Amino acid sequence: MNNHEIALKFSGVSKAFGQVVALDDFDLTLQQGELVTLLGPSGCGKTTALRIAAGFERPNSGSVFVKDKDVTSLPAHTRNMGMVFQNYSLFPHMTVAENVGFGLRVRGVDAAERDMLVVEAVSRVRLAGLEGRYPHQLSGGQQQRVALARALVFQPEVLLLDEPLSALDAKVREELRDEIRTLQRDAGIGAIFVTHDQDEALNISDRVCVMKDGKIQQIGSPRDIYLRPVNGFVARFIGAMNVIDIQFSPQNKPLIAGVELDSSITGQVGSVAQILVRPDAVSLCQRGTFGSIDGTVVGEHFSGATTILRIRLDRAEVTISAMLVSRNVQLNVGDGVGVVVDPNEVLLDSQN
Amino acid sequence: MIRRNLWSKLVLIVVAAFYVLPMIAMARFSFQRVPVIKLGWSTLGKNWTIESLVNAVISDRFRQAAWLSVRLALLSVVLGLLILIPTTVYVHVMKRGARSYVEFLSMLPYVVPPIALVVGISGAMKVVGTWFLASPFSLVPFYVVISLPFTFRSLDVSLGAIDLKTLVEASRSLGASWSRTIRSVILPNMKVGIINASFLCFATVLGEFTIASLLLKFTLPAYLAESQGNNPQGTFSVGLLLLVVSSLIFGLMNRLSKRKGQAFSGLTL
Amino acid sequence: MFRQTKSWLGLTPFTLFVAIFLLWPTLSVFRSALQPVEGSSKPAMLEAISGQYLSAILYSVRLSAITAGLGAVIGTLVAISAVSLNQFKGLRNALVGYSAVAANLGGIPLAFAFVASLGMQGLYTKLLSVIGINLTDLGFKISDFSGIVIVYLYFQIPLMTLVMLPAVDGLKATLKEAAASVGATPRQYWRSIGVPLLSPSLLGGFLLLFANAFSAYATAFALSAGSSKLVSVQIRFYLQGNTITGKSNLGYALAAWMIVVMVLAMSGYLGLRRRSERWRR
Repeated sequence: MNNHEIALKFSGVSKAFGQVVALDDFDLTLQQGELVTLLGPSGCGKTTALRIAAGFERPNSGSVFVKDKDVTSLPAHTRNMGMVFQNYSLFPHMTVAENVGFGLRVRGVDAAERDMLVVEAVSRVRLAGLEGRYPHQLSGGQQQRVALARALVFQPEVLLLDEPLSALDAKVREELRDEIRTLQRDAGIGAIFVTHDQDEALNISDRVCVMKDGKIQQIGSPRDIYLRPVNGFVARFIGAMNVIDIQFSPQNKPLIAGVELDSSITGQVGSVAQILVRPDAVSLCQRGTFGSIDGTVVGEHFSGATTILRIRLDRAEVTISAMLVSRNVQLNVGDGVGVVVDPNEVLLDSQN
Repeated sequence: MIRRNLWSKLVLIVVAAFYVLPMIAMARFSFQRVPVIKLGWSTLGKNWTIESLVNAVISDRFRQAAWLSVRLALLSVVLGLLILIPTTVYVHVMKRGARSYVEFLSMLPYVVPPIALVVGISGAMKVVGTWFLASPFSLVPFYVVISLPFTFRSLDVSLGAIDLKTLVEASRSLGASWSRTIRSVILPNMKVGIINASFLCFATVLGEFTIASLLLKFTLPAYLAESQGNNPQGTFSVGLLLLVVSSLIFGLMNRLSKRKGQAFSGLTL
Repeated sequence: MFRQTKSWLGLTPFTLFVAIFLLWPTLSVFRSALQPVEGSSKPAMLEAISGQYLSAILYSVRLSAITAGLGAVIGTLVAISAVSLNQFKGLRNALVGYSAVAANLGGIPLAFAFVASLGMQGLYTKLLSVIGINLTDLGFKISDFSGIVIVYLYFQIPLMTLVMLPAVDGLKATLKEAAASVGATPRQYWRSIGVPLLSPSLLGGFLLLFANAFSAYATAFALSAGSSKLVSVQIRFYLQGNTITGKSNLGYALAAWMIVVMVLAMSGYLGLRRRSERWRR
C-alpha cells in the first residue's frame, strides 16, 4: 500500500477518563478519499476517537498520524481538519458567509479570494443566496449545511463528522446524508463519520468500524458487516436479527424445533446454544415441505417494499421473523407455513 | 488548563474574601467590647458579648421601630397579594395578550428610583392634602409598588410553568364551580409563587429606608440611622441581625426559585 | 367568552393601583420639574443641568459609571472562573446563592459593615496600618468617592455575576472547538468569537449596574451621614431644606433627570439582553 494514500492513522491509541477506559489500543487507517464510519452504542469510544483525531483530547498512549506526520501532540487549531458537530456549533453572531469564511480569515486568505471561495462553498451546499442570513434564521438542516461548508472551504486534510445528522428530522437526515457523501467524494478527502445509527452507517460508508467498550469489534465494508458479522454483538447491532434457541443433534448439528439444520455450526450433542439469522435469510414454503419447520403466521408488519412476517413454530416456544418482498406475500395471520432457514447464513451467538 | 484553573481559583478566593471580611468586621465590632486600637493577639479572645444586641433589642425605640416595620411588611404582603393574585390569574386564564401589559407596568418601578418616587409622592399628595401621609401606614401602597417587579415575576413564573387555561377548562368541564376551581386548582398551583412573592416583599419592606426616611416614618432602617451616633455598637448589631435575616430570606428564595441564572434582583437599594 | 373591551375590565384594579401610586407621583415629578424655579424663567429641568446643579448629576453619573465598570469587569471574571471550575460541584450553587443574596444587600446595614471594616476605627484599617499601609494618609475615607465605590461593589459584583453566568455558559465548549477545528488560535477565538458573543451581556450588565448604582440612596446616605454629593442625597436637601425656599422645584428636576437616566439605562439593558438571549438559543 502506498504510504501517501493514508489520510489518517490511529496507532495503538488508548484513552481513559479516570477509571473508565474510553478507548483501548485503537488502530485504524483511513485512506485518502475514503469514508469510514465509527459505529457503536453510546459510550463505545467512537466520539473519543474522533476527538483525539481532532486534537480536543490527548491520548494516554499511542499516536495519531496525518499522512505520515505524527500529530499526537499538536494543538487542535494546527491540524487542518474540518469538523462538523452534532449541534451545528455555528458562530451565532456571524452570517453564513462569515461563518464559512472564518477558517480562511484565520489563515490570512485575502478578502477577495475569500469571498470567491465562500460563495463557491455556500453554493456547493445549495445555500446560494442565504450568505447574509444569521444561523438563528436557518433551519437545522440548513445550519448543518453551513457547518459542512465551513469545514470544507479551507480544504482540510481530513473531514471529521460527529453525529452530524442526529439532531435532524428523518427526511432532512436522508437528504443531507447523501449530500455529505457526494461532497466528500468530490473533495476527494478522507472522512471519519461517527454515528450510533446503523442504517446511516451502512448507507454512507466505504468501511464501517463497529466498536464496543473502547474496542474495535469489526472493520469491513457495509456488506461484510451486515452479511458476515464476526460475532454476536456486531450481528445484533447491525440490522434485524432472529435469535433462536437450539439444541445440538447426535450428528452435532443444530436442531430447531426438532428439525436439523445442515450448517457448518457444530456442537456437543444435547448441549444448547443460540443461533442468529437475519429475517431475509428465512424463507417460507408450503407447510410440510421436506426440511422445513412447521409454523403459523402470528403477525404481519408491512413496510412498503418488504413485509416482515412473524411466525410461531408449532413445536417450540420460538417466534421467527421472515422478511419477504411485499408483492409476493399472500399469507394472512393464522395461516400455516413451512419455515426454511438458510444454513449458510446462520451464526452461532458468541455473546453469552 | 491547569494554570487557568489556578487563576480561576484565585479570583474566586479574592472575591469570597471581599464578601466575607466586612461581615466579620461588623460582627466583631458588634459583639466584642474591645476598641480597635487596643486590638492585638492578647485581646483577640477577650470581652465577647451579645449584651449590646440584647440591650438594643429591649430598648423602646427599637421595639417601636421593629413593630412598625413588621406591621408594614405584613400589610404590604397582604395588599400586594390581594392585587396581584387575581391580576396574574386573570392574565393567565383569560387574556394572555394582557400579560405583556401587566409585565410592563410591573417593571416600571425599576426606572423610578425610590428617591424620585418619594419626591413625586409628596408632590402628588399636596393636591389631595397631606392627611394621607400622616399615618405611617400610608407607606404600604408604595411598598407594594416598589416590590412589584419581583412579586409579579414570582407569581407569573409559578403560573408560567403550567398551562393554567387548559387546567381551568379541564376543571370546569369536570363540573367544578368557579370558586371550587380557584380553591382546588389555581391556588395550589401558585403556592410556590405566593410564598416567594411574600418573602421578597417582606424583605424589601424591612430594608427600605429612602421613602420612610423622607416621609419621616420611624421604621427599622430609620432606627439604625437615628441611633448609629449614640449607640454604635448596639445599632451595628441590629444591622447585622437585619443583614442575616434578609440573607436568609433571599437565600431561601434562591433555593425555591431554582431557575438557572434567573435570580431575582432588587433594585431598591 | 368575553367581548374584547369587557375582557380588559379584569385588569382595572391593577391598572388603577399602579396609576395612583406610581404613575401619578411620577407625572407630578415631571410637572413640577417643568415649572420654573423662583427667580428664573427657565424650567427647573433646564436649570438643573447648568452650573452647580449639574455637578450633582455628573458626580452621580461618574460614581455609577465607575462602580458599574469595575463591577462589570470583576463580576464577569467571577462568572468565567466559576464556569471554568464547573467540575467542582456545589461551588457554582454556592456562588449563585450568595450572589443572589449579596446583590440584594445594601442600604444602611451594608454601610455599617464597611464602616466597621474600613472606617477610621475599622478592623482592616487597623490591620493594614500594622503592615504599614495607612489608608488615611493615602487619602482614603469610607464616606468619600473611593469609599462609596468599594461599598457599592459589594452588591455590584454579585449582580454582574448573575447577569454573566448564563452568557458565559452560552459560550459552549463546542464553539471553542469549532473555532479550533477551522484553525483559529485561542487568541483568535477570543477576539472573533468569545468577546463579541459576551459583549451584549457585558454592555447590558454594565447598564444594569449603572442604573442600580444611580438609583441607590440609603447606602451613600448612611456612609456620609447625609452629606453626600450624590444627586439622590442632594434631592433630599432641596426637598426638605426649607432654607432655600422656592428651590424645591430643583429637587423635582433632579428626580426627573434621574428617571430619564434610568429609562435610558434600563431600556438599553433590556434591548441588549433580548439580543444575547436570541444568540443563546
